[in-house]
Amino acid sequence: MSWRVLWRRLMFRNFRAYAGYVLIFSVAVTIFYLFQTLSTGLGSASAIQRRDYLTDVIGVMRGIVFVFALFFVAYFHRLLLLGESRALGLLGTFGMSRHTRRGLVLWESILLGTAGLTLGLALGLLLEPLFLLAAGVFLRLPWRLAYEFRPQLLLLTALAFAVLVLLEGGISAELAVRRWPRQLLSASRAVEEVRQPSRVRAILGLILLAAAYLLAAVIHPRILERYTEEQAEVGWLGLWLLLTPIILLLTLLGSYWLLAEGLRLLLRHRLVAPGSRAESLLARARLGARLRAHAGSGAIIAGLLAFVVTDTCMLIGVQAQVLRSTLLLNPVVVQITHPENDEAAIDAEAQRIASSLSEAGFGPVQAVRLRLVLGATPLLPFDEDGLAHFGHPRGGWYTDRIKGVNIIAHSAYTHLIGAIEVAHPSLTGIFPAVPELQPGQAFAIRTRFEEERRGWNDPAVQWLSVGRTFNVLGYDVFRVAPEEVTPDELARAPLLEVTLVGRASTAGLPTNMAAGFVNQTFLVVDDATFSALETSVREFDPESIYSFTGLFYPRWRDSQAVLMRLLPDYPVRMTSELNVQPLPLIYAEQYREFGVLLFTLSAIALLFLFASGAVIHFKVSERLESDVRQVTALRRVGATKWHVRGIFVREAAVLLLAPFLLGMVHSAVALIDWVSMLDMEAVFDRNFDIWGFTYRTFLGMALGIGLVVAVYGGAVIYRYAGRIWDRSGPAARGW
Amino acid sequence: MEHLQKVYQSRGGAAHLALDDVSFAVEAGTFLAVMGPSGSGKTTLLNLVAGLDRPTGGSVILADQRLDRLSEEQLARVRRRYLGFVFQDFHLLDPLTVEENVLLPLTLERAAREPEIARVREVLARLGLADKRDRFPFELSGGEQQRVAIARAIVHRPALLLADEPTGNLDSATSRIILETFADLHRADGATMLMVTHDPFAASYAERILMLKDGRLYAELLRGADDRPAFYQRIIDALSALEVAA
Repeated sequence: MSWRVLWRRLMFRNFRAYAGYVLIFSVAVTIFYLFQTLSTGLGSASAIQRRDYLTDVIGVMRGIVFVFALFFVAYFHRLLLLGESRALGLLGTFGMSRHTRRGLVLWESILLGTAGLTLGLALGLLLEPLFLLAAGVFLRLPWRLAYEFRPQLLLLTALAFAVLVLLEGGISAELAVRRWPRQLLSASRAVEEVRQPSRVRAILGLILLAAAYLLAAVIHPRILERYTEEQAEVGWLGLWLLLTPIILLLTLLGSYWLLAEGLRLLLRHRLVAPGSRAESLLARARLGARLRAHAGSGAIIAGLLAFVVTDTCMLIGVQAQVLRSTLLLNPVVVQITHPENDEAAIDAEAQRIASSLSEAGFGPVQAVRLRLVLGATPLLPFDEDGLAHFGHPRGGWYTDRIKGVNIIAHSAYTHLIGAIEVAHPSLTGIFPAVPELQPGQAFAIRTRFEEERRGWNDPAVQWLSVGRTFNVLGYDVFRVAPEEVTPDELARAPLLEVTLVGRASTAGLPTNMAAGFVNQTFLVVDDATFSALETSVREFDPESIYSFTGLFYPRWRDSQAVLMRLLPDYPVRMTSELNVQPLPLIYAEQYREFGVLLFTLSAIALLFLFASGAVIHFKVSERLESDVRQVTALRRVGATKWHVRGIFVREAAVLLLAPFLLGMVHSAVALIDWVSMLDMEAVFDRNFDIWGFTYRTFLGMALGIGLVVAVYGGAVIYRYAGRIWDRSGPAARGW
Repeated sequence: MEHLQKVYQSRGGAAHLALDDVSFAVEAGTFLAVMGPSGSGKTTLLNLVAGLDRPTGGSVILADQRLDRLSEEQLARVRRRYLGFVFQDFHLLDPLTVEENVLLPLTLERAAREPEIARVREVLARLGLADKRDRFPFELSGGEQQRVAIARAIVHRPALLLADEPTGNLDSATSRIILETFADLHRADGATMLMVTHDPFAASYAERILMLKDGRLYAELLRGADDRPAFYQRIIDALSALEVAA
């Protein structure tokens, strides 16, 4: 029998700790592998279907997952080695050479890594079809992510983790053997030195936390308020980004000192309080030592919990808003155009679509006639100077040369908002009332527009000054890319002179989904002007009115082609004569925009939560021997099992609840920061009480996680105390 | 040990002289105790003797080798072949059985076969642990755990057995059993032992005592023809006299 056999037995009998590490390792491998498959699946699908930022985000996520895997493997391997330090120290003392000890640590690391890798890949392969199916549903992908055995991904994952294992194993082995055996021994046998809590650090911790909260809740959102795209060079966004890690750092350091020093000061004060029972005194005395030892991980767990709760609250809030804005603010946005302007055909199709949508569960749906002609309003005449700006990166299509707007007839607008308000009374008043207009008069409406922020002083909307007269260009700015428009073509486009007689803003999107993304402005003109423009546009370019106008899609230049591909998947079949923008498509697009974020952040949050649980597990088990010794001593002086359990439960309550409560406070402040920023960004529908919604979600989350922490912590500690009691029995009885 | 000196540098750069010009020899078959108050340099001395630390000056010669001139690999070999260790808090490996714990030092030299396993059983039987060999450490009392630790320390027949406060964690009755075990090993096997202790009772089992104070050797007591109680009384007297002198 060799020492290797003995070491293997040692590992096998300490199965729980090693299995914990293998499990963590395999989860890291599985998640990495699954994201590899998702990223690859999306990549290949994009090549034939579409390209969007989903592929990029998942690609980034793959990197993040690998960083987490790195953290998992390194952190938990170090924890595992910490538990082995006594055995390694003993072996060194008994004469095992450095070379052999280095080999031992490396061998163990490779053995466990191989087990974790094999298990992780097996789990990955097993879960891959389910994961891809879930991802497809979750992300509302319009195509199905096909399961496919990809040996190159297995190989890549195996290779990445093999390198990781070798690197981490090599570094850990070197660190382990650099220490003298005497140091390894003394590390486990030294009397625990518990430094007195520092009042200065405790106060400093409070100050740092207060500073972090102040920055997060008040200053951080205000800085973003100063940022505008036009003033990007001022660096407000950079300052805002810079502030984020500073807040995180202050929060972590403040939490650490608060836990390590502040709570210990409080305990020391209570320790000498009269009337305390023996187990309370003991529990507080032990806590004094434990709090210091656990303050680092406590601060991290508080941060992780805060991340999970904040992230979830944000995402639930966003999702709720997406649903709401889709189903309420855009109740009837189904656009149908016909080359011959056949009103009967359009009406019939509109009715058919409305009933299809109702049957599909989208509702209430009401068909409303609405004619739209896309237009563009040149701020400057199309002279040589103006046209020369097309090629300029910041002087072209959407800046101060030509403004893309949608034009809607007054009667259609009135009809539309009337229908919306009937269907959804809660939206009454959200859309501005437009007065009667004379021929040649226009009324400007800005959507998703926050007057309190930059208002009409925004340079982008200064051209919409009341009283100003300008030409409306009858050309479909969404149909073709600006680069493809020749100056000659633009010069031939029909122009119609209008005078702006009023303007207003709204958080709603009554006419055009694209308004939120591509064009935030539309002009209401009187019916005669609209008709004249429609006629002139048709004469100029009959095809222009066939195009889709309302694509909720970030890359507007690709939108038409994308919609052409996607439309056959929807209940309303597109014909050569009827172009349809169905509501399910809008909803799917909106959902997907946030779905990617939801999916990505939720995956990170789950990883965090898993890591927190694993940290608690390892932290509890690493004190086993010292706790056995202490309980042995307690039993000798007459402590009962209930005394011992009481001590451990009290200790766990503080050690688990303190980071939990701190994490909830962090999260509340982070949510204040977030809601403040949303208010400024005017992303949300005014009628949506995001704060009320968020705090209810937050309370629910806090209660839920609190319950999980209490039940999990209680069960772990109850079992642990029982285990310690059993193990301390023979030693206590021996004397 | 020849003119041993050990200086520790603190983080602030201040030097602390833990051992200063300590010289003595341990003849084969001697049971030597090193006594002294806390901070006198006992554990430092033990670490230097075991090759677990390197002296700042002077040398330790063990089995005709100057330990301060050996590489770490060579030091490991010396510890493996010539030294046995008994610690105050036993340091048994919990997941291994009693027999496996005792077998461990033997396996470091080469894979254990029948003779080695027979040797383990022999030692366990000698220390009254034959029926405990399949138990795990947590199933044993403190005294039994220390006896397992002694078995582990002597199983490979070391030239020198080093014991660091071996009764420090035990009550007096159990301490007596452990010390009798040491005395028996010394008598019957002629084992060479160096025991660090601050307990006069434990030291009275040795045949020679070195007293350390502030890193220097300041007294040496030889048991000679005295029986243990008489030697114990002499140790107490010597300590009292030194207390008075201090």
